Amino acid sequence: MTERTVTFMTAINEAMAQSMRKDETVILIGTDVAGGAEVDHLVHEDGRYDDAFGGVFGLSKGLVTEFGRERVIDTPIAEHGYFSAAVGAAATGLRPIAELMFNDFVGFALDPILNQGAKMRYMFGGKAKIPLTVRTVHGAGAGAAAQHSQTLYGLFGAIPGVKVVVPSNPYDAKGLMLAAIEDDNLVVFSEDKMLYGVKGDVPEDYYTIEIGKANVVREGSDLTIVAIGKMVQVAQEVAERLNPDGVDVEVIDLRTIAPWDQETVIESVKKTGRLIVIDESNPHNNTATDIASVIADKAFDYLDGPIKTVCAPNTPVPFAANLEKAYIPDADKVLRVADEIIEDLKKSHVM
Amino acid sequence: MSETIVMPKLGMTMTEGTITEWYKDVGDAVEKGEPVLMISSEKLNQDVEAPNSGILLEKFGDVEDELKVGDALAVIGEEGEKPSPTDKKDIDPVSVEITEFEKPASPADMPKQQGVTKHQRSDRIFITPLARRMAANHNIDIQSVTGSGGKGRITKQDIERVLESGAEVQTESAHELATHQSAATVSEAIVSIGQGLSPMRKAIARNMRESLTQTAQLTLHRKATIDPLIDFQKMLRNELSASNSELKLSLTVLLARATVLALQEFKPMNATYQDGQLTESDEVHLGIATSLENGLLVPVIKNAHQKTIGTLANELKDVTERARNGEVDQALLSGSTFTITNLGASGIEYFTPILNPTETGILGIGSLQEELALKDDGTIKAIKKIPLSITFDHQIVDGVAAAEFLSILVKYIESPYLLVL
Repeated sequence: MTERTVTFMTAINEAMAQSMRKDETVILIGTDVAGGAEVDHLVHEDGRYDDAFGGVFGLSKGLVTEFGRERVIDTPIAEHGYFSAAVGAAATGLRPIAELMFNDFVGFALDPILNQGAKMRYMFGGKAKIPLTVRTVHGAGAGAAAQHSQTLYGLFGAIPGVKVVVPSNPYDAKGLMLAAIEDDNLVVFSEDKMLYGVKGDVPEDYYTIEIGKANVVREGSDLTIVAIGKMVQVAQEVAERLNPDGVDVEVIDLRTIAPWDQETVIESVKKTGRLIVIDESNPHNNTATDIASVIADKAFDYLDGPIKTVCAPNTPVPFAANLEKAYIPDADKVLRVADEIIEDLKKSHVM
Repeated sequence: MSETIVMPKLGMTMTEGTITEWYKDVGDAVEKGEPVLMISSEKLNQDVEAPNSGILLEKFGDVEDELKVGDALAVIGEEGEKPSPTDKKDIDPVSVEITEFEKPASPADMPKQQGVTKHQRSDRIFITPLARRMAANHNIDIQSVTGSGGKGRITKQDIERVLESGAEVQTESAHELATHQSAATVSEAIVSIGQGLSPMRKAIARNMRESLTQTAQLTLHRKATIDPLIDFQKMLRNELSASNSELKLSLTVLLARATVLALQEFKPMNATYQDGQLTESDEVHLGIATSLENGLLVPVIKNAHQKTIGTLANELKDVTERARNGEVDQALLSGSTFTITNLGASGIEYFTPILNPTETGILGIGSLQEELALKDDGTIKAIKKIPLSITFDHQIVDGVAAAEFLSILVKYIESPYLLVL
């Protein structure tokens, strides 16, 4: 495999392009996913079209040019309508990728996902498959205010029949996107907009990463930190900063938040006895609280301290830059929370 | 107003006592200071006296019953008075003068006084689930563990520290827990030390187990020629009988004197090591292992280094007789810096005595051996030798040093005139 460094955004674009080349039933549908290409009044005099911008972030740039408007479908701002269309297309033989521009708009798209896409395979006795990939965008940090900055993957993760993946780096983004498209069930692929510019090694070849399997990105013996999406970077910073204190941190990139990888997390906690979960969601009824409850149950006898969660506060995402920064979990916050459960380790390191 | 008599604490390590005999029955009149019952604990028997004059209103145990220190034994009050329901629970430890209640100490001291009061036992201990499970598996008394974790929690690390120090503490709670589990899971290890034995045997069991777990014991053996000492003894006896003295000089006394002098010359063997503190002593308090019908006591000759051979002989006789007659108190049985144990009368040659806890050395004396020795002029002569076994704590004293101590001891035995210095 040849490797090169590309951005998170490019990795997702490449995954969609490769799957569309490989499988002609794969389509992309969403608001502004094509952009201006092949729109009559935008045609130049020599018959050349402006290259489409490709979605609000330009992520799907180039796809409409390669695959045409038949497969890259711009829709009106009518999420209920086009998500219903996507579910129907999935049930009848296509393998659609439907884009929800910001996950904050989920209210309009929810019924097709919650009541149709997530239920049909079950209610039809397995006779229908819903190989639908829902691409959406979450996360604070872009100054996009309370209606364009939320982190709502946990909301999708609470629905039985829906898988939710949250990649943390370009390599995972491509592999998980290809796996999501291949999956015969409804998969929500939630991208943190703050990661779009992050670069990383990504093979040019087609590859998939198993959905439902977490990735131990750093092995350690004293403290397990489970992190989701861009919080993996925070976890790694915490691990680096605790290293001089003799606290050996294991970092788990959850990759999939529904169904999340209980086995890997439980095994890790059995080893370390301590757990912190970092999740940018609001602090209640989210993935972090779910992980905490399962570990408190299944690994109770291995816990050498209380399970800690580090989340955003129970407020909307603020617009003011300083407040938005304070809203997002960072290494300082995690270290403050960690203090209580690593006090003994720090003491013994000093001794 | 009625008063409650509680099980007194007779020594630092006492946690429970056994009722040996009731002198009074319910309804009997008792005078203040009059013995009401006898209790026994570890190696001691002790009368418990009435704190006040009155009528014995209630007894809370029969002969052979084992009660925890601080538990109510009896209530004394006025004729016709009903013991108030709070009497049994609301114990006033001051009502028994001999009770030496210790103040609640640091958690590290807790096991010594477990059961002293119910209140302390119910104090909430913060401990992680993992640490709790480890403590249960190893029968560690979590009351004795200090938590280093957040909010003072006991964590895995604290339990590991306890395990490393080897200080596994048998607790009643662990034992109780075990008895509630199915019989199949109750392993031998969970049975508490000395369980089911008499108080004295229990104390011996505890001491011996403690000794072997807390120290690194090694024993060296050597013989000393004892003919000069026997000659010296004969000479002294003749002198004594000439002056009509009653004093009986045994070889044991002379060996004790030799040991005292050797200890003064070689201090590392005259030391105690306890709670991380090594104390070499200038004074020699000599423990004399004394066998009884059903056990063993080690009465102590205090300040043995200040005693002449004559006073040493008297004291040796005195302390061993008191031990055999059961007339002992805690003072007689504590404070020794070195112990001598003599199996000479049993025909034993060498043996490996077990250290008397906190001491760093114990001398074992065997029975006299007749041997043939080749003299310088090539002739052969019958001589007597005495086998000596020194057990020492190799944590504190090394083999060469212990050998040096034996050499010094042999010097005093083989040059007995030094003993009168």
